[in-house]
Amino acid sequence: MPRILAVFAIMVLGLVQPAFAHGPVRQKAVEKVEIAKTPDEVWAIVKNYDSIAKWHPAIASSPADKGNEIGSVRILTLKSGGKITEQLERYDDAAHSYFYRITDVDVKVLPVSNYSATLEVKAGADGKGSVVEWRGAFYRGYPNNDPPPELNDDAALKAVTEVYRAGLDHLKELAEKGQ
Amino acid sequence: MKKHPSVAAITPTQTLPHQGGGFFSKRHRAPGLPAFSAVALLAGLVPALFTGAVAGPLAYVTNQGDDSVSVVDTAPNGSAPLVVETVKVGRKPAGVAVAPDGNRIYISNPESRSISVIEREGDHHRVVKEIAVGQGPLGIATDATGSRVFVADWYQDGVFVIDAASLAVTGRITVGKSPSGLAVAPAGDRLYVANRESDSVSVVDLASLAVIAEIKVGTAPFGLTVDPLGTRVFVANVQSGDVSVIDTASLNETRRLKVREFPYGVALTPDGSRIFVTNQHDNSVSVFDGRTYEPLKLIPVGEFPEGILVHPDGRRVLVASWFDDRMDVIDAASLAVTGGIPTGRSPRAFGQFMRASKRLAEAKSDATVPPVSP
Repeated sequence: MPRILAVFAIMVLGLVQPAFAHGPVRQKAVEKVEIAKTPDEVWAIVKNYDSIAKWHPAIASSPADKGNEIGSVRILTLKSGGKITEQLERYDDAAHSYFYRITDVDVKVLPVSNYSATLEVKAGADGKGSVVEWRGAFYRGYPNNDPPPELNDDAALKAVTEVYRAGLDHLKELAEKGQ
Repeated sequence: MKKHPSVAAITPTQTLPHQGGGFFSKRHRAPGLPAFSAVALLAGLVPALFTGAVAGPLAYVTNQGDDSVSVVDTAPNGSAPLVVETVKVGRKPAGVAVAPDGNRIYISNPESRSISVIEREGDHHRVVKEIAVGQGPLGIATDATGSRVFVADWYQDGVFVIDAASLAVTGRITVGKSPSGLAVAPAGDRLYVANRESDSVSVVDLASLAVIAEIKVGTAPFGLTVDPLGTRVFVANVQSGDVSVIDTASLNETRRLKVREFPYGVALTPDGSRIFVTNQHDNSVSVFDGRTYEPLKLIPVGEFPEGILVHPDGRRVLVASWFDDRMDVIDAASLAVTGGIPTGRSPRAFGQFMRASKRLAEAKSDATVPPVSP
């Protein structure tokens, strides 16, 4: 099919959306892990916005153009080949947390839209170790009603939860091994 | 007629079937990846059991994560608010409009594609009807007398008109793309509608239901509020991080107030003297002087603050913190957060979630209020 007709067909099917279109139901994902190291020790591993590739097993590289400055853009290249672009919106070294949002991602890589998240290292309940919390807010990848199953609310929540779990569980291993 | 529990039901955690995802390549999938489980409820935040009569005006908070509405007794100023009842409604409720007489509360359920009609009988509430409306009912508002209910359909680019007496859909007004927040002028003559994907506000003449103007505002306008005196309309522009002020006489945007990232809603004190704006990504409320527009304070609140409303007594501001599952209370004079109460999961409270305080006639009779220039 000629390219122009293919593009037209996609538009007619309503698959081309305004950049930030989304459905009316935002999802929430919150995952935590307890680590037997102090918050300072754990923060030292994750504190740099461009260091996520070092502790997340699915990410191959994660350079950030402005380090930990607000507005810094990091580009995650996944080991599976996909890319995610994320902009830093808030950084609090003293509170051991940062907040960022995805500005560009293909729904085949991560089936979400309008995604933002916080990574935070807190003191553990016993006063000795840490709890790392990764929490995000996002919409499903398909902005209209009646989404296909791979782009519905459940798929979005599941995918994000898996990302958080994989990262946090691996972070715990790294931190507790003393790396 | 369904029976509705008066205490929030605890939703069990869910387990979802494992599916293949694009984030992890098969070769590099983390070993021993646990089976998926959904978010657990915040532990230990079961609302206190209500045992007495309702004291003060009621606030109705839509809990999008629980398919319910928390009925909050805001009590006389000085006492802590309390959840007195939880009403089960449709799926993923978001919008709320309390009728002018306080006896009906309309709730939009975008996922059920319906509106739940709640009626108050003394201290208790029940859903009397669930009406199918459109493809994505979200923003909802009543007219000044409560005789009509307007529902913005996020997907169909229109506003449905419902007759309150018959609860039948009697009309549809075509507006811009993805209409969201909407409100009726205090005089009852106009409806203002924010069109999120058109970056505009539609103005509808309520006698004819004709659109008489479309005003360009900022990027992705969402929550919309009319000044109780009717002279100004405020709309939060989510993507441009500002609030448009519209002069209702000329139907022009006359100024932009810079706020923080991803603003959601705007609230005004009954005399129009203070403006409050929720900033979703900044976990804060921006406060402005309602006459001079001078920024007064940036108040830290819970995470992802959304629906915001000034209590009819003018002394407190209620804010739904969507991520924290909590309603924060701000003192409107001191601008300090004075407390918060747990709500159901993912509270939004999008709209007029308490009975409005003043009608235009009452507001105009207050001779001490100086005129405001938009």
